[in-house]
Parts: sequence; C-alpha cells; structure tokens
Amino acid sequence: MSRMSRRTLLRSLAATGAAASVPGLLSACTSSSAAGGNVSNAGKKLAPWPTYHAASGPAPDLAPTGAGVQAGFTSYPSHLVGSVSHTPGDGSTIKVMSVTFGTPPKPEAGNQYWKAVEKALGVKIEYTVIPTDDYQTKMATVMAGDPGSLPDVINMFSGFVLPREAQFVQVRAQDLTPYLSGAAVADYPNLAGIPTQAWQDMGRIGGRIHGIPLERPIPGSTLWLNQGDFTAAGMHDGWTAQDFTAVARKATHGKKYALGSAKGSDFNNNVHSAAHNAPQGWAVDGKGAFHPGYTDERFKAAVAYQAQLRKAGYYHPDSTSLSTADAYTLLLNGTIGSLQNGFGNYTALYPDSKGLLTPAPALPYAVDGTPGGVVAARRSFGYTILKKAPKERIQLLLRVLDYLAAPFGTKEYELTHFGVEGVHFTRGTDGSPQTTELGQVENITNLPFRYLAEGPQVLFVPGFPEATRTLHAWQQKVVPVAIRDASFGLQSATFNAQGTTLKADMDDTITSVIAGRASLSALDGAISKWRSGGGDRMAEEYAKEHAANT
Amino acid sequence: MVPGLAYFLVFQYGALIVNVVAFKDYVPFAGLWGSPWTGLGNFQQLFQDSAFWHAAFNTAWIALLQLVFYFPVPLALALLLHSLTWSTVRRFVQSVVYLPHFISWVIVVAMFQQVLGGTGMLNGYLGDAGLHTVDIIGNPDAFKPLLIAQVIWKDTGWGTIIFLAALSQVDEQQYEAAAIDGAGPWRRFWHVTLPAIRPVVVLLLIMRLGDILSVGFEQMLLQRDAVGPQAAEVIDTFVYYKGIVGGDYGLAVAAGLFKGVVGAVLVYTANKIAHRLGEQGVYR
Repeated sequence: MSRMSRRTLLRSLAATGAAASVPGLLSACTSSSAAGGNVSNAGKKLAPWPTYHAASGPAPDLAPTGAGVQAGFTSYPSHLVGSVSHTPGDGSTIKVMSVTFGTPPKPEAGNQYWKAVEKALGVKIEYTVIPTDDYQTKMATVMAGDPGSLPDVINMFSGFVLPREAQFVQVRAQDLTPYLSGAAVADYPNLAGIPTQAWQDMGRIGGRIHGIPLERPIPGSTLWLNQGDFTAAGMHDGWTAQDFTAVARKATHGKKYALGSAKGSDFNNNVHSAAHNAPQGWAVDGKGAFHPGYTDERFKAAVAYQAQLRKAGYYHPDSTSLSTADAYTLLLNGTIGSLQNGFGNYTALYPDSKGLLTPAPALPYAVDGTPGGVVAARRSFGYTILKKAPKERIQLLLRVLDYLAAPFGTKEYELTHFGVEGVHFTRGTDGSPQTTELGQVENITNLPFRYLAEGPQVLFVPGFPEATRTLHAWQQKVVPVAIRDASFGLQSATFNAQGTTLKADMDDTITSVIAGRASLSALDGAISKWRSGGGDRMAEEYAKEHAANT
Repeated sequence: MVPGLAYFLVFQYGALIVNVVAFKDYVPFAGLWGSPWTGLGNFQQLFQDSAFWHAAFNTAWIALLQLVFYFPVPLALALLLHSLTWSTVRRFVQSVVYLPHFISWVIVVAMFQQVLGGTGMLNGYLGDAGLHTVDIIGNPDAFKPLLIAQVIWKDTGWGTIIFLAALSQVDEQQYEAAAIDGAGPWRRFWHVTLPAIRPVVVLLLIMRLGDILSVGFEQMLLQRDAVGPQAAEVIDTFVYYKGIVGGDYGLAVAAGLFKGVVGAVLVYTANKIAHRLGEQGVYR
C-alpha cells in the first residue's frame, strides 16, 4: 500500500470510529518505491526481444515488400488454419481495459459476439472501453488510483502522451521479460509472430519488457479524402501546396468545407508538417544528436501554410472543438471533404462510406519543388500490460492474448474479427465474410478485442477488393517518403514526467496560431519555453538512449 | 449528528491534509509520503509560469464581469416578480425562470453552439440571405460576454429565490404608510424595499466573494477548445489540465491552494467591511 486514498481513510475511520487516529494512520502509510523512477535503458542490461517466428498462413494476392508495404488480400482465404490448439482459459474472470473508436458495446448478457469469444477463450471478460476523447483523463485517474483495483489487462494506447506512463508501467505492471524475452516467447506462437519492429517501437523500460505491442504498418496519420469532391476540384498526382490550396478553395462552398479536423490535431498539423518534410517529433543526425521537429523551419512553414488555409475559410468552423467521432461523421455526410485520421481507419471508413462517397488516402503535396513526406507511425499502436499476479495467472493471461493475436487467415482471427458465422456474418460469393445486421452492432469495433492483442496486420476489407489495390498502390508511393520519429522506442525521464504538459502547451500555441488567435511569432516564444522547460533535456536523454541501444 | 460530523471530518477537513502535495513532487505510484519534498518549488514554478498568470487574470476578469453584470440581474428580476400582483402569473413565471438552472452545462453550451456557432442557426440564416456571417463562438474576444450571457440565461431565475424570500418578509404596512405619506414607487423602493433586504444582499455578496475565483469549471472546460486557453483558461481549468491531464499534481495543488487562500482573504476582508458599515455579515 503506497497511497493514501480517501476511501481507505473512510474505511479506517469507520473501523476505529474516531477521527483522532487520522495523523497516525497517515504516517503509518509509507511507500517503498522512490518517486523519481528510472525508466532509462542507457547503462542497463537489455533483455533480448522475443524471437520472431512468422506464423504460417495463406499467401497474399499482393505481396509485401521489404521496405514495409503491407501484404494485401483482395479476397478472403478459402482455407483457414487453426493456430491455437487448447482453450487458453480456466473459466475465471478477467478484467480488461482499452481504448475504443466504436460505440459502447451491448452488455455481455445479450451480446452473442462477446459470449462466443468468452467461450473460445475459456474466461469471463469484464471489458472497460474508453472512448478516445476521454482516454487521457480516464487513464490519468486509473494510473493515480488504487493499485489493487487495476484491471488485469490494460492496453496503453500510444496515441496520447500520458503523464509518467513509463514510470507507471515500470512500477505497477508485471515484468514480462521471463515470459517473452528471447526464446521464451515460443510458448505463445502467435505472440512470437509479432514483428520485431513492433517490439522495438514499443521499447523497453529500464532494460526490461513490460508489454506486448499491437503491430502497425508504416503509414501513420493520413489525410483521408472524399475522392469525388477532391478530384472534381482538381486534385492530381504530383500536386503542390499551391494546388492543394486551389483544390481546397474549389471544394469549399456553401455549407461544405474542404478541410476538417478534430480537436487536439492542431488542424491536422501532422500531415501538413510531413508534407513540408519537417521531422515528426524528433530527427537524429549522423552524429547521433537529436533535433526536435518544432525548431525546424519547415515545421513553422507548415503552420504558416495551415494558418492561410484557415484564414481563407477552408476549414470547418468547429475544427478546434470537434471530437474525432463527430468529425468522422461530418466526413461521411459530406460536410467536410477531408480529415486526418490513423491509417488503420480504412477498415471502418470503406464500409461506413459505402453509398455515400469513395474515400481515398491523400498523397502528400510538394512544397517549393520538394516532394512531400508522410507521417510514419510508431510500429506499435499501443502495448498491453498485465497487472502484477502469480505466475499461473500471468501465463493464463498471456495464453488469452496469444489467442487474440492469431494472424489473418486463421479460425481464431475469423471469430474475433468477424464473429460467428450465420449470426454476425454470412459468406459472400467470394467467400469473404459479409456482416449481418447483428454484426454491425456486435463486433470487434464496439468490443475492441483487437486493442488487447493482434497479429500482424494485412490489407483487407471484406467486399472491397478495390480498396486493397488502392491502398497497396498508395503504400508503394508513400512508404519510401515516410518520416519516422527517431525517438520511437527510446525512453526519456523528462518526457516521462513533463512530456504531457510540454506537448499540451505547444499544441495550444500551434492551434492558436493556425486559428488566427495568435501571430506566427508566438510560436517562437512557445518553442523557447518548450526547450528550456524540458525539450533540450529530452534531446540529450534521447541521444544517450540512442547511443546505448545501437 | 455523527454522519454529518464524519462527512466534514473526512471530506472537508481530512481532505485538507492532502494539500501537502503542493510541497512535493507528487507521483501517484510513489504514494503521498514516498514522493520527495520540494519545499516551495511548486509555488516558484507556478508563479513563474505565464500560463498561470493568464489563468489568474482571466479568472479575476470573469469574476468581476459576473459581479457587475450577473449579480444584480436576479435582484432586478426578483423585484419585478415581487411587483406582480396577479399571483397566478407570478407563480407561473417564477417556475419557468427556475427551469434553466436544472439544465446541465453540456446542454446549455450545445444550445448556444447550435444557435450562435459557426455552422449554427444564426449563421445559417445569414449565410442563406447572402449576408456576412458573424463569428461569436470560437471568437476569443466575444468569449467573456458570451459566458456572462450564458450564466444570466441559466441562473438568473434560480438566483431570485433568496431575494424573493427576503422581499416577502417586508412589512406591507410600511409600503402603505410610505404611500400615504406621498412616496412614489422609486422612493418606496429606495427607502423601504432596499433597507429591508440589504442584509441578505450583503450576505450573498460576501458568500459570493469567497467563491469568486470559481467562475464555472464545466462551462470553461466545455468551451476552452473552441477559443483556446489564452481566453478561456481559468484557475480551475489550469488545475485540471496540469494535474489530472498533465500529471503535475504538485503544481496543480499549489494553484488550487493559492485560489483557496485568495478566497479566504476576500471573505475575511468583505466581512470586516460589512461590520464597518454596520451590517451583520456572515460571522462576527
């Protein structure tokens, strides 16, 4: 017990019936762990990454490339294999928690999908889903809360900077090194099938492995377009920033806006700064020194360019306050013509937009004759940690996650991703699962098992072979120009303690400048505050980590 | 008695102990006593932080606007209602003006957004008529007047309750006597009504001063993204973003403590002034 919660105090009060015991009670409640935490990997013995062993599966129609273009399936594999031979669970209950991008799931009692997965896993599952817009505050309270009440399985979503995340994981989560490091992972074949790059981008903490990553392809934040609107307005391959402005002007009329964004995205600053070839987060030079994207002239140019777009009225007026879900709805109903979202959004976007519009990922525009770049994702969308528990319990939880990590083309994958045949999906003429009405409510989007563990991703949208071809072709163009954040997988004590507030202050300023509430020069003030407040220390810490890891 | 006492001990006085966080680099996983002491470090950082002074300035400014523009409105409405002689109408109007108080801020803010927002009703009409649209929601300059308008719309009716109760205590005979002596409505208000309800007005004013730096957490939080922290950050949202969201609990508690001290000083001073002026005040 390391924290004095009000509830504990109340319980103790009720027991003693006297308030006089309060001071004694508080002083009795001391902590064993130090506050600083030592999350750095520099100077630590580094646990080897789990030995990669690709799971065998069906051959893709469109081949993956060594550079990182994903395997693509234009049709569903006709022969599925089994990847898990025994039921992982023992009938016990496990509490899990993850982010969600869907609507709240139907309660377990009336949810056949939930029950089917529970049966296959051999456990009862209590699922706490956290909508993205609430993620940061919800996790802040979970992390500050009583360690005893933590869920058994928590996915730490990488889309947000959580305060002292690495330290929290180090102190509260089970060290999984003995179970997963090196050859030990062979006990969980599907976890062994997670590519090493995903483990690396998750990163170690203090030299140890504390989580299981959710593998992601190279493309990260992507500008999703209403293809019809943008093509009609003159979008073409090899477009420039001037072309982009012209297209945005043409595609904005009446109550339609060419550009939309959700709050916290700084008017889709990621895709624009990448198109301007600004470093995404951090860049490392040949000498191993780290340079922040913020201080790069190209970043400032991107912000200035966005401010012009905003001033001209091409952005939806509520672009600083829309939730991601609301902005997505506006994209689907045609109010906005484009929206920055994760690349993985395609699995929902193609089916959701059926009959409404044809979505497409944007190619980056060129700036001053230099072809634009795109955002490279952290190869881990998040990572799953386990509450500390005895060995048998940890092994059970890992078996459950191993089941959920079954790759595409297995029976396990089909159950978790499409539900029960005849209930949640039927077979189309090409054999691909077609969602039933029930499947549109009871599914992996609303009950997001995919955010607990998942096998390597492939390009596939049931019933949309053209989507696979489009995305595969698009990836071949953008993977070579993807700009990777050099800090992925590295730890920084300063980032750990202050990263959240430092980023929030920068985001506030970037948004203010683009919204026209502050002048471009305000950016310089914010950047120097960011540097002296911790940015410069982070650069040093990352450089140290980088040197130690390579 | 015991449950009430326990409530105050645990949730009011007990919780005060946690204010020591203001003097620590508090890390939840290290525990209250495991976190290292930092002395006045958090306060030093706080007072050097321009964002905090922005928040403090906004808070004071909004508080002043509320005091000047919102505080008198319920009193005026109460006087108006009190002057109605037809009691059926009076009771009906009273019930209707209470209603907005029970609507949560989420709904109120959404309603204002729907009517005045960039894609709202007003701009829809203006746009359709080929006129210039007006930028109200999302415009930092319009934000503070907007806040006051929202508060007036939502809470004026509710604020009349205590004034009406005070007004009902005024002896009718005094009005009659004044009228017979030839006093018009204005003189009756000035010499009869106002002196009778003055202790209540002063009491409410002092209590409002103690709470003056709480200018509406939810209301700000819901609209902060639309106009940015420069215009909408107040001490309460600063505490929330630094503490709960940012994890810098020590700094956030320091800011909260600062706010509490200012509130206490204000109540004490206002009470003293009330005594000087011969009023009862809140306490003696």
